[in-house]
Amino acid sequence: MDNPDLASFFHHDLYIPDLAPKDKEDTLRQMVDHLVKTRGLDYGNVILNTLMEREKLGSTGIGKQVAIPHSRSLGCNELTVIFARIPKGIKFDAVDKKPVHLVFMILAPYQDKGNRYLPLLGKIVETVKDDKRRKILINTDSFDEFLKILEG
Amino acid sequence: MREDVLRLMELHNLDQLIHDTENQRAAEFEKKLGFQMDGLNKLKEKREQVAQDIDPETLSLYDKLRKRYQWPVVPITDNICLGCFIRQPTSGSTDHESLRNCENCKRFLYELQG
Repeated sequence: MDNPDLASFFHHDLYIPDLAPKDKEDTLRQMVDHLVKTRGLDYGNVILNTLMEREKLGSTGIGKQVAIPHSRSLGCNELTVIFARIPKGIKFDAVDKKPVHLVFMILAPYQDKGNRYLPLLGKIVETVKDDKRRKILINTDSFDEFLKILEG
Repeated sequence: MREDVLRLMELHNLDQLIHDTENQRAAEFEKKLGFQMDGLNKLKEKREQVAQDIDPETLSLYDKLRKRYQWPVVPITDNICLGCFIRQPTSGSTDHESLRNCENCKRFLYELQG
């Protein structure tokens, strides 16, 4: 999976440039609500519960101001990524204890037939670990610029 | 949506999360990426709590199907079970809110839109 493929997973209607959540759970809830409204899904609570259970396994706040909550769930029918930028930052139990500003939420169907879920996760981590690219992602509210960064 | 369908979906999702975490290769991959994965026991406790809220007959069938097919809850689309891809008889229940099983493989079915 190269960078052009990575950009193809992101869509303008699932790009939230200015989320202002109260806490970690509210972050996940607002992003799932956005997905449910945008894509007309029926199982928002099922998806949210799965993501919360994944956080019990261990925080998906990987440090450097980034969190990548992810799970397979019966509530979604295709591999989907929702992105939120949190300008003020939010506590996310991140590994480095610092506030999170970038949230990439990945949802996969219960069967990942193309085996794309974990490679996508790896590609996002690789991208955000680049300091220069991450800083631009934190500072921009433009979807076009966001895509350019992902495309490398 | 009936509560029993939602509980089965939650149980299925927890089983899948536990399965993925116990998959050494996948878990090692996530750990290398920087994800924390040390709460498996909490997930197993939650799984038992959710299972206790499901009626014994339904849970018994779920466990039986789990052993047979691995994943016992599947979507139904255009009246086709996406577990075995057999079309369901149109004379059967059309109540999409109720708990249904595939006429062929007996997997639990739920409507998936979007």
